[in-house]
Amino acid sequence: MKVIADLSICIGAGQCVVNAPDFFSQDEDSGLVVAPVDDVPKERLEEIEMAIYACPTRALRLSE
Amino acid sequence: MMIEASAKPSFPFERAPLAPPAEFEAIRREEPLKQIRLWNGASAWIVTRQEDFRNILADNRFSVNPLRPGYPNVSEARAQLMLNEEPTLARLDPPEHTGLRRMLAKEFTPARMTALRASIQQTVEQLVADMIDQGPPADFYRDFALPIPSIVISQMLGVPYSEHELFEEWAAKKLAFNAPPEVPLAASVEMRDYMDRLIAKKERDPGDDLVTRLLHDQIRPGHLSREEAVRLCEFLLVAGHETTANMIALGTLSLLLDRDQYECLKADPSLSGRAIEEMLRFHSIVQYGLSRVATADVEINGCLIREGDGVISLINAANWDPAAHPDPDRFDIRKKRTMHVAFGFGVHQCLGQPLARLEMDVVFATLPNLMPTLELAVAPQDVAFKQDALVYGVERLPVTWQSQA
Repeated sequence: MKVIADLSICIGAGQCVVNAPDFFSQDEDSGLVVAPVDDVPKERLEEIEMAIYACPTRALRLSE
Repeated sequence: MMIEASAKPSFPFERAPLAPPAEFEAIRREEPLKQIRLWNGASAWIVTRQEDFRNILADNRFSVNPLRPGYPNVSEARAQLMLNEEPTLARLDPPEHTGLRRMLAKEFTPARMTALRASIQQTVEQLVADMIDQGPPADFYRDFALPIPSIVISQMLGVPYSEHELFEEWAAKKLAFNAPPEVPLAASVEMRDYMDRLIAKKERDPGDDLVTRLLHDQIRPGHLSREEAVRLCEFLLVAGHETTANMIALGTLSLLLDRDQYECLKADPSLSGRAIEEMLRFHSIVQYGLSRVATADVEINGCLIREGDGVISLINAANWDPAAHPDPDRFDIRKKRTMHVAFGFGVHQCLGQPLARLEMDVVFATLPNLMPTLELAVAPQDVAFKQDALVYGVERLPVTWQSQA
């Protein structure tokens, strides 16, 4: 499973970074989300789901 | 028609000193989206469940533009401001909003915040040292809670802190709820003139600050007009201090009212991160909700909201929704963290939240150990709360402590 980010609606609120700092970061120039997770470790799924839930513009989603 | 109109309760409802209006509980249970009547007789929906709150604010069919017919203004003073002030960030819809928001996003990234932590720590320690030097009692709001965000946002924007009394007064007037209608608007005009002069000053004498960066990166290359920059900076200055100041004071008050929790934080400062989330949720200081107007017919939770209907999403109702927050009326920093909406949701979610969290985190990881005997200097029922403010807080917070001779 991976995380897909829709950069056209990301506003750089940084909620993914707050909730799953090991998996998400923000681009220093744009403030937008970088490095979407390619392989979600099962044991960390909850953390990543929190990050997805917290995103205020719903720019993140899980995909097979 | 008459019966239907009179069946709608008047909004806003009266709150308790440290709790949202009691009516919210029954409304949330029985009619989570409910029509209310505003000060001018207009109708609007209030939203009391967290899931509906999130769905509405994440849905761009709800507009934040106060000039659209049906937009719900919560008081006459707010209406005057909303209808007459040139809009910026918080009152623009996408796509206009998107460019401005992204222009500022990079100012609030985790890396930027980390760079600010040491200086915020120093500010907190200095203010505590000053209070201790002066000796008890102190007004915790005036001497500590307000200066912290005020100093931090001044440094960030490049506003001289020596002028803090000026901008603090303007900000308080702008956020007045029931003041004579011309008051917030007059304060806005003064504050924007002030920002215009500040930008002119930065043109002659640049600094390492946000206003100078906007000038170089956005105004000069033509990405942002001078007028828009003035509005944006004025907005950041207001939003940047009044809110966090109230949270620091109310958060401290809650800890002092349940001493065990203050002691708990003293013993384990690493609880600070969890503590501030509970403070944000419990106090939900933006107390009259987030106004939107529907630009299409939208069904939310089985309820049809029609194009042109006003919708007020209530932070202080959503954050006390038991479906999202077990035991919502109990303040407890040891609780399992839940996902609150104190900063709103959707594209307009608070831009400065990383900064607010950072300031609060430093305060609550530091204060209990620097002032281990801090306590209220008045009876809890004698604490004076802001009665006329869009953003809730205390007027004053008299505190005392055992001074070490």
